[in-house]
Amino acid sequence: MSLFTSILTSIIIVLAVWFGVIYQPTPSYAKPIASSTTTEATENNAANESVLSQAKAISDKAKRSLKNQVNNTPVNNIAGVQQHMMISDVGKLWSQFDRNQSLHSKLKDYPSAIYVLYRNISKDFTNADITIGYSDLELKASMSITIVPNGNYQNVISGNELSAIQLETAWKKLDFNQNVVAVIERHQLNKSADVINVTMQVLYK
Amino acid sequence: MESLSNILSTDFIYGWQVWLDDWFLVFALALFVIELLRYTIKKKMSWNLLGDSVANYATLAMFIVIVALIAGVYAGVFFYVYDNFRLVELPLTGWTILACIVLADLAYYWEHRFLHMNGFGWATHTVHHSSPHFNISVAYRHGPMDWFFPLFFYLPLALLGFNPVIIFLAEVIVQIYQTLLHTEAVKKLPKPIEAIFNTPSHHRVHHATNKQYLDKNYAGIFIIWDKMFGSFAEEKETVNYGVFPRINSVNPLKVFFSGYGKFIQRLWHAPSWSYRCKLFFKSPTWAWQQEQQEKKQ
Repeated sequence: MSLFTSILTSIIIVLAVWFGVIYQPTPSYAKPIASSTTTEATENNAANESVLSQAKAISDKAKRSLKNQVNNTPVNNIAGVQQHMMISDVGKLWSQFDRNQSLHSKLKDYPSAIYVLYRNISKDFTNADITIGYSDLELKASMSITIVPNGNYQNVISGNELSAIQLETAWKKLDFNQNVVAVIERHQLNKSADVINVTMQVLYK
Repeated sequence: MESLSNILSTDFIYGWQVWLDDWFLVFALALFVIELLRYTIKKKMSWNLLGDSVANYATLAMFIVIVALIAGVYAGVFFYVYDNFRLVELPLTGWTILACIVLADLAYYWEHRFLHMNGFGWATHTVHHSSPHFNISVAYRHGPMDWFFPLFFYLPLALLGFNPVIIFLAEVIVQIYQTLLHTEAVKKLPKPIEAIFNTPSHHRVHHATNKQYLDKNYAGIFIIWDKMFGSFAEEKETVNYGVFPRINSVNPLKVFFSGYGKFIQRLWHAPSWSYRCKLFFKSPTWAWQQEQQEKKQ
């Protein structure tokens, strides 16, 4: 084979393998969010049945909408690693999370975010029950979960490239006069598992 | 098969790369001790062999120093290209790693062929070939610019969307596989393996100075590239190792810088500027032939 033909063949091989990787098999799953559409459709049918039921449906929707304004919990349940520890030592729990292959292998697809939940925070804000993990909806097998306290979370800090130091500093922005129930960080990921956005929120009693 | 679709973290992949890199050297050193015992039993042990082996590991030490100095820049180039110019974003899965190994191996084939086909590349790669022996220590006989050329051949993988962490792992796997090929202890492996994979037999041919073996078997892991692109030769005749002109030294400094020393010498004594240019781009065989013709005249 001449040099030119060899190079051309190599390019074809590269493209073939590349397309193969792009369209590689990934486990498909129906997103749980899809169920809300079904609910809306059912509500619409019910609304057509009678004026009374229509009024009820609108009323329910309004109630739900009102509730959502209050309850903006970023995730319901987190599955991952958990430990009561010094907040400043959270890096150790991150290492434990990164090494937890049995957890990562249970992902249905590319994870959309990693959550860090701080609960039972000590009065001097040095210790807490810390959980690092994925939303349980993103895992294919059931695992022990941590329930995220429901409520109206307020934004503390948000950004594309927040460093660990910036997150640590953000704790100083909390209103210490109020009783802190939970603090949650949402590390949004792209398909390469790189963090593209970090949000820190707090739930006061 | 399903496990190959699982998403892996970059830390996990990087951890594997570091683990392989570190522990394989220990494993290779153990294999080298076994090879030395074999040489002793076969009464082939010599001071030259020992000196040559020490020189091989000394070139490795010098190479590690250079790599330590440029590693940040080298990795930075990959991450910069990946972050700013990638065409797609490939997921971090076992399938992606497997595909990257195949493509990295193909890239290695072309890089290796390139090093044999031009004077500038050969000046560093000749160090690896200059040993008159063939054992696992030769795999660690590096030239000063061995880090430079892979950059251009592996970088397109970052453009294609392979995360640099995967590319570095693939590079290490291709290198590790080849390290194991540097032995005379393994004659021929079963035919299906010899047909698909690079083997010690195929790689002995690559290190040969026998005329029919010159510029053959560039493969890293898969010998199919050589068979496909017409650069394959089967080991039939006994192999003579080394390069022309012979280096005849076990001095690590002389071994390490011999290639560029000779290259600069050739450039210095070149009869014209066009000849100098040809020294960069033409094959080392061409330069050698020119010198032989000059001697005859």
